[in-house]
Formats: sequence, structure tokens, C-alpha cells
Amino acid sequence: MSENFDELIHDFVQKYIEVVESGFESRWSQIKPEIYHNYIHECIGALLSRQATLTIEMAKAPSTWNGHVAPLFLRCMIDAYIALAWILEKPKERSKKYILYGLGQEKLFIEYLEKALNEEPDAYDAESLKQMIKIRKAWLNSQLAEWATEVNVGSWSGMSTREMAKEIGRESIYQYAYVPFSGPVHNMWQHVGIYNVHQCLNPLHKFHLVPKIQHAPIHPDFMYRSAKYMAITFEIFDKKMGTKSDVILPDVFLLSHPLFAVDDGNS
Amino acid sequence: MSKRKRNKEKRWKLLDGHKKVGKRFVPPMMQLPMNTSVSYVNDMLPELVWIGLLNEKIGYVRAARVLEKIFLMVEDVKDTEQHGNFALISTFNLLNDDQKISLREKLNEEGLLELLQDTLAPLTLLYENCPLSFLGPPSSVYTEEELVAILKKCVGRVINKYDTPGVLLNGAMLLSRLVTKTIKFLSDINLPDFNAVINSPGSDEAKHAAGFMRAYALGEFGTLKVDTSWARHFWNQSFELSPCEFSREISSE
Repeated sequence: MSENFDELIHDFVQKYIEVVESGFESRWSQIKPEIYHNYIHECIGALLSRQATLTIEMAKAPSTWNGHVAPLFLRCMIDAYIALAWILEKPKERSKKYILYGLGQEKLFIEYLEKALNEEPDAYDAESLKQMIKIRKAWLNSQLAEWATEVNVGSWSGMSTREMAKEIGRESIYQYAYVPFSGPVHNMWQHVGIYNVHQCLNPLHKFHLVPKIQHAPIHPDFMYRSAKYMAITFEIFDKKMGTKSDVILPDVFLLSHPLFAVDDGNS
Repeated sequence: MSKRKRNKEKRWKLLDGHKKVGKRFVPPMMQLPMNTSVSYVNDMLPELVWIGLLNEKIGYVRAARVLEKIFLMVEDVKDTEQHGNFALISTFNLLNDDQKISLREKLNEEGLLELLQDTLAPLTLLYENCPLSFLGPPSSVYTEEELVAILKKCVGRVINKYDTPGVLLNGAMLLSRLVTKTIKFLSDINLPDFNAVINSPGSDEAKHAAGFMRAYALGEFGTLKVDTSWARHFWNQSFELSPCEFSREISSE
């Protein structure tokens, strides 16, 4: 049984990666980049690739399909979906906003690094810090001169994620996926109060909670959600970019794979 | 009824009744003026647990009669300016040494002292600062394990304020006021049948009475502003008395 299970997992992971990579390639190959405003396809393509990378990495690590870790992937994927879908509504204007915000954040980080170097020029890692600053500055300046880069410490889109989700007509994904998965991402009580404690049953201890490193069981539903988020990302991409693909959608593939076959209760 | 109207009725209003204050949504009960937060388990239970021990020892009905006598005796020995509800253990700290001796004598004359010494042994022997320690030690000999077991069983039973043992702890605060005639209800207030809590638990009448008792206890406790020293000592000392316990499923992981 165990050997068979290991084989099933291996088979699923290999084929799932193929499905996602093929789905990505088949779509992106249909895009004719607009090189004058290159930032548009760079931004959209990078976000689509990010989504595919996240689901592939999650599939490759079945030990992460549990309540401790899977939400970190999933919240990130929902974030990527909302950002991409929102950008695709007005690609030219919004992809620029997205990139400029990122460049500003990079500039701010470089400032932090320079400050650290200035305060401790003889630190043991000073040389590597200098190298890091040089590389990061080169990346930044290759896109926009440092002096022209604005730093925005607010939200990149100028609105909250909930408002963005509402604008793309997917407020439900914010309410039922983004919000609950934000708890584990930010280590909030609604997560750690369940996953990182267990209850003492002694009444004289007021049934207090005691910290515990718990082993959360692997649950395939987490991987299904990841596949679902990848699928809706491909769908919104097709709809807005006018692409088509014959490659099976990741969630459809997942449900058809024997690893995820519905248990009839006899096994 | 039109379809449109039905749909309107079905619409769920998010956080209905909450008041938006900046970025916070305040629930209806927390909008009430003079609202104070009182925790039954944290603050009230340690104050009332001695009554729980009495209930466990001699049963609810007999315990109620004993409590009535105690409340009346306290009324006799205390001064008029010594306010407080003597269902709460910390209130006994208000009595001076002479009053405590006098109360002990009265309890002895009534044949209740030995019962109380025996019943309250878990509190008077396991906790350094028990306000009822002036009653003295029990005549019987108990091991620490036995005392802890008695207390653990009692706390386990009274910790839910909605179960009968917990309801009766709340009710003791009202009983104290009624017996000493330090509370009066207007004649047009329809008081529930308090006995229903014991005689027919789970009945509508019992639920009504239980709700009344809890509401009264919570209200009075909030206004008394009881010093939390005993409650803090009770829980912190209780933690020292026995180890944590976990379900077998989790422990064996």
C-alpha cells in the first residue's frame, strides 16, 4: 500500500508539473509582446509564471499539504490571482503602477543596506553587503534611474486587496480564501490558537492552552485548492489575453488522477 | 409574497447591530454604557467555589439551608457599614478578628462548624490566603491528593456557568441578598421559580430562573469591584497542585 502510494504521489507530481508547464507555455507562446511598452507583458508574464511556480513547488512537496504550511502558498497564490486579474482590466496603466511600486521598494531596501554599511563599515559581512548593493542597484537602474524612482509606502494599487477583489468581481475569493489564509501567513491567533497549542484538560488549570509542535495531517484538499487557483489564473488570462489552450486545466487533471480519486470507504 | 421581497428578507446583513468606530465594529452588548467586563471563570468562580464544595458535600437543597444560616449569622456579627455579598469568599476578609471568632462560635452552636471545616478543607489547607481559613482545619485527616481530587472534581463541575452546578453558584449571590433582605424586587416583577433549577433542570422555567440568577450575579459582581487577589492566588496555586492533563490521542503522538 505504502509503496503504491509513493508511486502514485511520484506519478502525480511528475504529470502535474507537465500539465502546469505545458499550460503556461501553450498560452505564453500565443502572446506577441508589445516591445515599445515592454513592461506590460513583462509584468503579466512574470505574475503568470509566479503562479505556476508556486503551484509546482507545492506539488513537489507533499509534506507541505497541511494546515501549517499550505496556507502560506495558497494565500500567496490568491494574492497573485487578484493582482493579475486586476492588472488585466487595465494592463497599460496598472502594470506600470505594479512595477514602479516594486522598484520603489527595492530602492528603499537598498537605502537600508547602505545605512547598515555606513554604520558598521568594518562588519564581517561588509564586503558581501557592498556586492549585494552593487547588484541590486544595477537591477534597479537598468529599469529606472535610482534618482527617478519614487518610494510608495502605501498600497501598490492605491486600494486594499478587498477592493481589488471587488473590482474584478471576485469578492468571494477574498472573503472565503484570502481572509482565512491570512491568519496563518501573519501568525495570527485564529491560526496559532489552533495549530500551535493543545488544551490541558485539568479543570484546576482552567483548561489552559499549552504550546505544542503538532504534526498536522496531510490533506489533499490543500493541493486541490492550489490547482484550482492555477486553473482560474489560466482562465482569466485566456479571457483577457484572447489565448486558448488544449492542455487540461490543473484542477481537472488533479481530480482525474488516481491519487485524488474519491475514497469509497472500502479502502 | 413577491420573489423580490423574499430575496430581500433572506439577505444576510454582515455584523448586524454592530457599531462602526473607526476601523472597529463594536458588538451590540459592548455598546451599552457602564459596560464592565467580568469573567465568570476567571474572577467569579474562585470567589464562589466554596459554595460549590458545600453543594457537592451535602447536596443542593441542604446546602442552600446551610448557606441561609451562614448569611444570617454573618449579618448578625458584621457592622452595618461592612458592605459586600458574603457569597463571595473575599468578603469574609472584611470581618475583623473578633467578628470572625464570633461567627465561629455561632457556627459551632448551630453544629455547622465541623461540617464547614471538613467541606472547605481543600481551600483552607491547600491555599495560603484562603479568606475562610479562620474557620480552622478539619477534624478528619486528608492527604493532599485527596484534597486536590475533591477540588478538581468540584471545579470541573462548576466551571460551566450554564450547567446546574455553575448556575447555583451564581444563584448563591442572589440567595445571600434575599435571605438578608438586602435586595427587594418590585411587586410587578414576575420572578421565576428558582427551585426549578434543581427540581426540573432543562425546563423553560429552569432556564428562565438560571438566566435570572446569572444576570443578577454578573451585574452585582461587576458593581462590587471585588479585589482580584484571591482569584489570582486561587488559579495560580491551583496550577501548582497537579500536572497538566492531555487527551490520550494527543499525548501519544
